Amino acid sequence: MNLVGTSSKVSSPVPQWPGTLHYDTNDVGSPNVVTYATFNSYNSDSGPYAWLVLLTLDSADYQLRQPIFVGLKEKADDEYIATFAEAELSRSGDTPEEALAWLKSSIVELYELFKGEDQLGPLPQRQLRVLEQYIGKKPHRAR
Amino acid sequence: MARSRIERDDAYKIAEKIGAEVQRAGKHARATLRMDGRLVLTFGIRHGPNSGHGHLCGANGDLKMNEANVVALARCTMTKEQYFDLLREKGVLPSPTPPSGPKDQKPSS
Repeated sequence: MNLVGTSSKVSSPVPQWPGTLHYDTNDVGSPNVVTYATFNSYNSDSGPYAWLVLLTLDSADYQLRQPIFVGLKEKADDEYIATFAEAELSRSGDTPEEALAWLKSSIVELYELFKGEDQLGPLPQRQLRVLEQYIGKKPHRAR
Repeated sequence: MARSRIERDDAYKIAEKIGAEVQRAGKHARATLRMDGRLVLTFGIRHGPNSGHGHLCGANGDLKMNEANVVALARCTMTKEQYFDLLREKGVLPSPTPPSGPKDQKPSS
């Protein structure tokens, strides 16, 4: 996937950020990811950069309370890095799909790990505070 | 664009060097570092044939330092203590509490 060369296309009624270029999410591969993007011109050494909005965690037990803005960087042809900056969390993959899938599963895994700990250091405390704002248990369905 | 210089083996070396415990987590693995019973740091270790580890580097990367320093930590030019000092500077690790002086000690005459 070429993050810079993707054509413009509005694909979801999510509020538009000023100065950003909308383009189709299908290149990222997941129907639950909305892609906004623009080239990160102030950091050209690190390669193209896109903004994504995650609308689901693809988890059986957890759901999002609000969308998560994720930065996606093309580090090399076969390395993409997805970053949830507010939670100080990044994950990489050979493709954008892999990086995003690992980020999503890590969000859930770390939330469960941190919630189960008696004592957290400063960084996990900060990360848990952010994660609690974004994710919660899915309600159980009555039979 | 250059691929990340950090590989899976580097991530395992770092985990061993800093005393982090590695556990399988789904398709990949997760290293957790505890100090005095407190969970202080986690980082992801990718499993795959060409697994670059760019997610470890940078301000929002798991190890909270740039790629050159991550390489230095993995390949021995940065010590564990130097890394922990760097984490303290960034507020990732708590600052060591200074040893308290003896209480109720009368000043010597």
